[in-house]
Amino acid sequence: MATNGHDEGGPSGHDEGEPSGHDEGRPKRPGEAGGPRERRRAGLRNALIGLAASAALVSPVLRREPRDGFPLSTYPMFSEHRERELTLVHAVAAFEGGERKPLPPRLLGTEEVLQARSLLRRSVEAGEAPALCARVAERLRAEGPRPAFQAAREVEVRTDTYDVLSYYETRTPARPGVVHARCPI
Amino acid sequence: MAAPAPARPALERFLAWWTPPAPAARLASVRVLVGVYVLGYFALRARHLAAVARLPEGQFRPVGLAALAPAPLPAPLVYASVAAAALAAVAFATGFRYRVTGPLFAALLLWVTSYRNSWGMIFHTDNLAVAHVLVLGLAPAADALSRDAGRRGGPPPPDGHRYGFPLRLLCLITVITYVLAGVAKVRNAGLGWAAGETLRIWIGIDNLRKMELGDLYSPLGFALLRHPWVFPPFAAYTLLVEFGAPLALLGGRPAKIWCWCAWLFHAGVLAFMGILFAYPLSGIAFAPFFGAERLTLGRRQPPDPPPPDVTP
Repeated sequence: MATNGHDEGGPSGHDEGEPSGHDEGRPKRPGEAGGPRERRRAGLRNALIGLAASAALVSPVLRREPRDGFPLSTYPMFSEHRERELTLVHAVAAFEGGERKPLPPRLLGTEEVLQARSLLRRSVEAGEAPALCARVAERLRAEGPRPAFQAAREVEVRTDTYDVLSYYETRTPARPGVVHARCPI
Repeated sequence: MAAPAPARPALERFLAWWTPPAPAARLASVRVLVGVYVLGYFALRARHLAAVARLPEGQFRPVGLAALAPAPLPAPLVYASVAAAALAAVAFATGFRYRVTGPLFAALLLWVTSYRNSWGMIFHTDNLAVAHVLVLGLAPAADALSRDAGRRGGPPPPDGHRYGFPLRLLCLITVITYVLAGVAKVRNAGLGWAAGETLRIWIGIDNLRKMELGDLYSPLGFALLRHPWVFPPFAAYTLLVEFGAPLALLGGRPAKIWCWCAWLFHAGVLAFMGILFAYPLSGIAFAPFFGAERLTLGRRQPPDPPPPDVTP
């Protein structure tokens, strides 16, 4: 980038113009500017850099099919209209009597909830739910007894559908879910 | 009577605005603040950045710089790249051998964050900080308040356009990211997004997902779902902040007002969705809009150094 002059002396570092008459023979210090013509030239160059940076930032949105990426993004978070029903693959600990508790992402091998969601979904799509379920059960056993899951009997990888707006009161799925894999703990 | 000064052409006025002179300490202060942020980021996130090495290979969906890797890297290489980035972050923050470590850290941060985002989920909380580091790493942001400046000695460098331009660029990048977020909402859901129902459902989805995936969620966001009237003002406010971002480029009071509004917006996101946009919430994302040197050097600046002796 042209702004990285780091000009600790020498003509190659004079990125804002040649030294004026008074500067000749004296090493130029960082930050010193040249004459008006040089400043104008540097200004135009910086304007081009700004234009290029802006174009790069906006480019994902200008595609016919906008595609999110990193670090150039369309910033699509929470932008699309969604129905109030949500279908979700998750891993739960199943207890005697039918109670179920969601298992935290670390038992899936990640600290990130969104990575955990992606991992669960793709495992089910790829038919790998039993293997994932076994790994989760293994990690749960390896962690030792935890109060929250001490009485759990098995791990389930399952898909459930919820009504988002009533879930807060009911805390239950809107209809019976699908179990993809069950593993004893 | 003096003749009126000739009007400067629009291009000249634009260039004067786009590359204003600024103290080296202002740009350097932004580097220090961003450096502190990234050091904190590595202290808290290094474990997560490295944890992707344990994810199944089939999950790998490379984005950004990680697209250069045809397949997931061996775990030791992932750990080494995170460690190298953390070390380079120290050099970046302290301005040590910046000519090399500035661009190096920018590249390493881009690499490790790209790699982290290549496992099925893009974390939009990192984009702005990474973009700012890319600019700072390539700018002369260590001409003051740095190990390099201390080693060089002498008076601080004079104010220069080369310090003002990167600051303008940082501001522009910030503004564009917010506008893009607004464009995405209007493009995907229309102006009806401002009616609030889309936002209400999203808050419900996000919190429900977190609960059912065993993560922390926002009880406040959940509780508010029962009060639909709350959401239209929040949604309208969100769009106002996002599309109002260009006002911040005016500087002064408009910038101050917008930055506070944007900060409040992120505080709301944290309260209702439990999503921490640490970079803007720390205030550091907005530092380029202000005289950041007042934070690092204190309000009372040392007197300007005497002009250089130019007597032949």
